Amino acid sequence: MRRRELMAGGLVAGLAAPSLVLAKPKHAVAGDVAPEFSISTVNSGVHRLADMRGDVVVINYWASWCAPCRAEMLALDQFMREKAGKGLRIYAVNIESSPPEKAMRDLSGALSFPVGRRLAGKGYGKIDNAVPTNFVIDRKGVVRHAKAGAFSYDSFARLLNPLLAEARPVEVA
Amino acid sequence: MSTTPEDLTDDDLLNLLTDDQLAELDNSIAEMFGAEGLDRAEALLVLARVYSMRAAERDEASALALLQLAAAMRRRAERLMQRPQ
Repeated sequence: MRRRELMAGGLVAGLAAPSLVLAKPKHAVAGDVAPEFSISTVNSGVHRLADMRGDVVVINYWASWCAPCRAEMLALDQFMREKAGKGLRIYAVNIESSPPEKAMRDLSGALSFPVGRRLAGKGYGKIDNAVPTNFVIDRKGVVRHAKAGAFSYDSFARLLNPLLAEARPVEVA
Repeated sequence: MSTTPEDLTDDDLLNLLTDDQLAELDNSIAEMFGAEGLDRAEALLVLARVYSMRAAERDEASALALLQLAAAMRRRAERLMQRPQ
């Protein structure tokens, strides 16, 4: 009898567990204070969120085999070129295991934003194991977008333009 | 030391194709990327780099095809840049 109760208890716990997991996503969500991260880029060393305060930051997870990622990359590149000097940073994090260094550098050299290999920091990564996944952090360091799915130029501009128009937070010495 | 597709220049890669194949490849690029509004010189140059990156993770035959595609995209981009506006 006791064994049966234990089994029943285990079943209930097992059924309850998925809802607990769903209740708290592993990744940062819109409204969260952006977790700290550092990214190793192929052309410009390591960049840290702590050094980007006051800028709008986009982290874009992508792969070369992903057709929507490729089209999105061009939209992001065009937008970045148009917003040069406005306090926008975009980092394209490649999720493939072994892209050759030279090819990565070539691509990075052609884009208006750095391409990275690794991003270290909790709360980031592919959402639902999908690429592209994008995180957008506003000038105050708050996550404003954390979703899988590709931006078009227009959808990216609709999200980013208001964020770029926000005032930089005042630094208190 | 054996030569891999990655060692070939754009001219080498495209010289492996006949004129008909080159024309067909050029048309395919125009159709494939034109449909997405990406048949523009600057877009083709970026995408060619992505395809070259992709080639490094494929078997030799697929890598050769991808590198030829990338070379043809760069050539098309050059032509588009020379075209009078």
